[in-house]
Amino acid sequence: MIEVINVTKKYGNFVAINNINFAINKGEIVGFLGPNGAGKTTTMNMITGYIEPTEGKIIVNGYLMEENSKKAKRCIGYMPENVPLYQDFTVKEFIKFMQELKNVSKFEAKDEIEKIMKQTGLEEVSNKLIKNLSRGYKQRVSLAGALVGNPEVLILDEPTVGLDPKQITQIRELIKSLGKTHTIILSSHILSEVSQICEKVIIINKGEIVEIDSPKNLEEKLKDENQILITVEDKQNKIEKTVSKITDIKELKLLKDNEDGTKTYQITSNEKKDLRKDIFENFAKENITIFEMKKKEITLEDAFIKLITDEKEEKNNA
Amino acid sequence: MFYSLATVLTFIIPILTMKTFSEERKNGTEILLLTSPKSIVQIVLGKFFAATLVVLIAEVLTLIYYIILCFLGTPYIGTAIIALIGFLLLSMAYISFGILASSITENQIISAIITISFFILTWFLPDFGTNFGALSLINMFDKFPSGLIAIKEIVAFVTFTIMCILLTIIVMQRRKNVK
Repeated sequence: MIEVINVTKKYGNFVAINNINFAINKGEIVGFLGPNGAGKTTTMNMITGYIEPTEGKIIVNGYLMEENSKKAKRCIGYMPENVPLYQDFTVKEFIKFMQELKNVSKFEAKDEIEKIMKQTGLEEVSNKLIKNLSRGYKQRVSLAGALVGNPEVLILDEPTVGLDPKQITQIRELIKSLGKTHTIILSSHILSEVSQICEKVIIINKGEIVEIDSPKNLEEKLKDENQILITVEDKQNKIEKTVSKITDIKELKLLKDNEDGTKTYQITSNEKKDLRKDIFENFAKENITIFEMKKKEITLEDAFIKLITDEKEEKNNA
Repeated sequence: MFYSLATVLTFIIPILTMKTFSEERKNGTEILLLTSPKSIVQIVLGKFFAATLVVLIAEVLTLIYYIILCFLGTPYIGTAIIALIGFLLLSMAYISFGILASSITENQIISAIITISFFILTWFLPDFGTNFGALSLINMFDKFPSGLIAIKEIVAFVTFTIMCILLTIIVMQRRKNVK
């Protein structure tokens, strides 16, 4: 559906995007992750044809962006960051304007307006001026604008930024339901959001792609060590001795001394072995009471931070 | 009447054109236009004809005076229409320059000032020498109100308009690479 081939974008001597390559298949929901200034928006702007890459090719739905930009752009619905809108239009007028921009035929136009308004929940405000709308509604209007013309690809740049939690879940649900019929690329700072919605994640840092994988695989990949969080009551202070008896434990770290006499530790094991059973049995023998024990899950957040910092270290070493 | 109207145009047109591209760029709505399947040529021409239409409507409204005159006597309709055509051509030339100025800056005020100063400069050009006088847009308009269809001036207006529109298109196209 979308192919980005050896794309580089330079501003003078500054390299914003350095030779990136990726492909997105039809029907995928892809998350674009990266710290501020990583080049997410620049990449999206290039895919939508707003700016031209210095080198490389972008192919959307089989159309090369440089040569067949009209047809390529027709396949894309873009919701830019900062939701630019014509403030003096009403919501309905704005959608009509977008229809004209996207060459929607007049026969379909009327039905489409109603459909889009219903989808994005804009019916109540259809005759309000955009400048009088709240941020959440503006966001929806912008999304509605992207949906005009039923494009096959939706590109959403931080669609949930600045919304309240309720609106965030609503927009997320909407994106999920759209994902059944569209190919979606979205960028976000909120990693839990990406791991919930997306099937594939592209992590980008300083203009280079660090990793492309599914959120699950990414989490899996980084599970090279097991960590267990445990809260115990240990009146005789035997925990260190007990732990040393169990092989495979690499490290015991005191995290917190709770006021009620219990202590919280983090236990790191060497291998991918689950040590919870061993710990339970040994602790019980030594009269150490376990109040709470749980395996620490590696989230996409950890994966993200690890990948980004790893890359920095690699560069420093090189 | 048309001479003073042409003077007023110097200040009206920049106000009309200053926001064509500057406002879009400042609000970020430019991105909506440039990522749509419309080409840059279409966008620039759309802006140009929109502004021209405003002037045209204003011109049509002046026909009211002509109707009033008809009740009082028999004015020459030919002269009036030629004057209006000349006026429209001058407006188009002015608008095209205004749009060009608007396309190169994000700030509406700067765009208006560039446009007004250029118009005033061409206005006073004849004072610097007769050779410069040939470049004065407002002086080219002089012949039309007297009912003359001046081919030389028409060609000058049209070429100036086309030149400015082409430059605007080039500016917009260039921005894709620079931005």
